[in-house]
Amino acid sequence: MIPFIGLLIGIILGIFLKIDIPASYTTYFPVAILAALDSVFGGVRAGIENKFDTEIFISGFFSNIIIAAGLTYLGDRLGVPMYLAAVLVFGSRLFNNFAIIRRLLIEKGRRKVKQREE
Amino acid sequence: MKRKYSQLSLGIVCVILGLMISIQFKSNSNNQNLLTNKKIMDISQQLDDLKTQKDNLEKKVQEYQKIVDDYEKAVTAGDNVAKQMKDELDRVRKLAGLTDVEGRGIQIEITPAVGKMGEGYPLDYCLIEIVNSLNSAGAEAISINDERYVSRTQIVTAGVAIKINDTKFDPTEKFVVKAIGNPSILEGAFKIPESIVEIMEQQGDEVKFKQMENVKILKYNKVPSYEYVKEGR
Repeated sequence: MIPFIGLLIGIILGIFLKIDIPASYTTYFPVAILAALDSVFGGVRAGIENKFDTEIFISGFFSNIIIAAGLTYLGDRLGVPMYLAAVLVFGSRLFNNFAIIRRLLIEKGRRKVKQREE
Repeated sequence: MKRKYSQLSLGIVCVILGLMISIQFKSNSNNQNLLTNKKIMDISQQLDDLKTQKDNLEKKVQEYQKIVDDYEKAVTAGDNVAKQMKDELDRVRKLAGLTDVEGRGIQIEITPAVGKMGEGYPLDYCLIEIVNSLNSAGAEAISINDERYVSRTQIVTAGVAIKINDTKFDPTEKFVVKAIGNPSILEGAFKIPESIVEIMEQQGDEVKFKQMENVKILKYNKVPSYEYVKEGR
């Protein structure tokens, strides 16, 4: 529940705060968002699996963002579209995590139904 | 307890994520027309194509103009009335700035100060002042970057460019003003204290005068058309 409220607060804050991304950073920001999204999904999954570790989660969140943005910057400098690597990896991990979360939730639900039946 | 802690950290991170997402959404909807590299390349390619097209068409116009001149000559040959009419026509054309002219005069080269765009006295006003001074010093024909100054010439800032006779010029590049008239009088118009040239030099613009025996000034290369003006008599 708390993550959802946090997300809502963040979105509303973003809408009302007058923050603009400088035009030169427009390529890095979406990649950073993808990295953040991946971390959050990973965190949710770990939470469901009861393996959540706050330090690992927080450090992973920030280092993912920094590495993703850094790779994109490096790619820009070298003339290689490195952000594709970040998009590919984070994208596939997102799908993976989401699939696992779905499975875990369904299994949990089934177990509860079974318990009730018994 | 541990569970609550983990939920809280997830929540805080989600705040950051939400913030990033909404900022990105906002800036994306602001920059709907943000140009991609490919678009820029396409547009500059188009610009080049159109420029060559324009040059070709201008060449054609010149050819046809020559043919028209030949016709006029052929018609007036041997006919006195027609010849007088042709002379009158030529005179009026010269007055209107519709012919290339040459004669003694001066050339003024203006190199705008580097990196001072938008500061001090704007370049379009400077150009207007210069033209005004030249006119008051008796200039008979004036052109700026080969755009003939005629009664309907505008000198305005349009976006980042300066528009003269509907042609756009980069205000960070060199401007060349040419004028036909008495060279020393024309140049003298700018030697008085607090003249526009003095102001420009204080701003860091470079202004160079050159008195020339033969200044060539091109014609006004548009067809003046009147929509509202009617004959007064």
